[in-house]
Amino acid sequence: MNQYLNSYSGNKKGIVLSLDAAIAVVIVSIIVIIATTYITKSNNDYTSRMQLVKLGNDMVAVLDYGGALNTLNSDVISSKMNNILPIGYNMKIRIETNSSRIVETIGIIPEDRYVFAGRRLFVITNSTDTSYAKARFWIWNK
Amino acid sequence: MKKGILLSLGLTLVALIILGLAVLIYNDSSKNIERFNTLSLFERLNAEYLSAEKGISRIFNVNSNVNLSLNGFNITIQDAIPNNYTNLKDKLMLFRDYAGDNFANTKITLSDTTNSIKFTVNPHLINYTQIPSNKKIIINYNKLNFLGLNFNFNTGNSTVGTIAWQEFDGGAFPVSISIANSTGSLIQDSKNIDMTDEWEVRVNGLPGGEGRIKVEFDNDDKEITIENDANILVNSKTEILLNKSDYLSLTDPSTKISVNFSEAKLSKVQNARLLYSYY
Repeated sequence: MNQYLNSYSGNKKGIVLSLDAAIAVVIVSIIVIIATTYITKSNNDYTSRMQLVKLGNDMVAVLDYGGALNTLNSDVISSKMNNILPIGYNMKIRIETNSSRIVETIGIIPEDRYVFAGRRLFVITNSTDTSYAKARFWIWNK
Repeated sequence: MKKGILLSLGLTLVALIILGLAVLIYNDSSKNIERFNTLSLFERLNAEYLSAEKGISRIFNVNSNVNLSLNGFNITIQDAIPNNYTNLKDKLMLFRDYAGDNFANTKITLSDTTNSIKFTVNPHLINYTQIPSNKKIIINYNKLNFLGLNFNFNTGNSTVGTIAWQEFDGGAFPVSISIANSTGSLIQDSKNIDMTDEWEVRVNGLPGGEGRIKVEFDNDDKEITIENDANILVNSKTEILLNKSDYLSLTDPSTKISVNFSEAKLSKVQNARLLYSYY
């Protein structure tokens, strides 16, 4: 009789321990899943986005100061742009002058990632005339 | 049994700590979105402002008939008396209209559309003004930051003049003036000017009948006036000698650039700098 009771008590302990372990695993799993969800949601790299903002503005400023934008020649602008654009980035520039002339570099703006769009106003001067233009640009990670 | 309960509690605690950290990361990330939006707006605001400023500077360089240059802590302004700023003002107005119409957030405000011109030397608060209709250059100085002035002019018919005004330790300003033409020296003079003195120098005998160039020092109003009363064009070169400062800039107080992001209630309004450097 005692032997039976001992055996029953041992089984009960085992069942309780198993249940306890199972419940603990479930609770831990739920919490880890929730935590992972939170971390995944927050996994947007804003430092890299800020880098895009600064790089985009600097790129058009360099092209303006270097005189490339003034040429209003898409080949010249593309060539200069590709020379100074760091690896891992793509960029597109569209220029519109006050006489409605439009110059655009080749490139398709992606829809599946963050794209920074900015603008720059600039003045085109030559020996006979002064005209005005705005450069709109888009920059994104490859 | 107790051990099992402790183990469960321990595991739950660890899991809650992980959850707590995850929530913290998430909250920080939410703040990062706000930070990024604000910082990127500031970047845009500044980039648009600087591009408008550079545009104004370029228009000025090409259309003003004024040559500005920085040499160490000295600013040199090459001008003519009288100059004609009509073309410059027309081009600036066109630029203002273009920036306002097609560049939605950038608004260039010209507070003064007359054909006079004025530069302010910052941070020294020295003003250089020319009113072409009066054929005058007026320099308002601030003695604390002003080391001196060299003014050179030529009339294109070999009459040349130099006025040098330098501060010395005693606080007074010794002024020397030397004007000559092809026939010889017209004026050779020097004088110490203290804070209460006024001194007027006239150079007569220039082309244009009774024409003359008048230089007037007024220490009460802290003003130097160079007037071309002759019927000729006088080319002038004004060199303003300054104290050391962290930066030096020449701004046009009549051209304000205003950039607005009304949705974010952000704006930047400042006078256009035509020349600047940092040390």
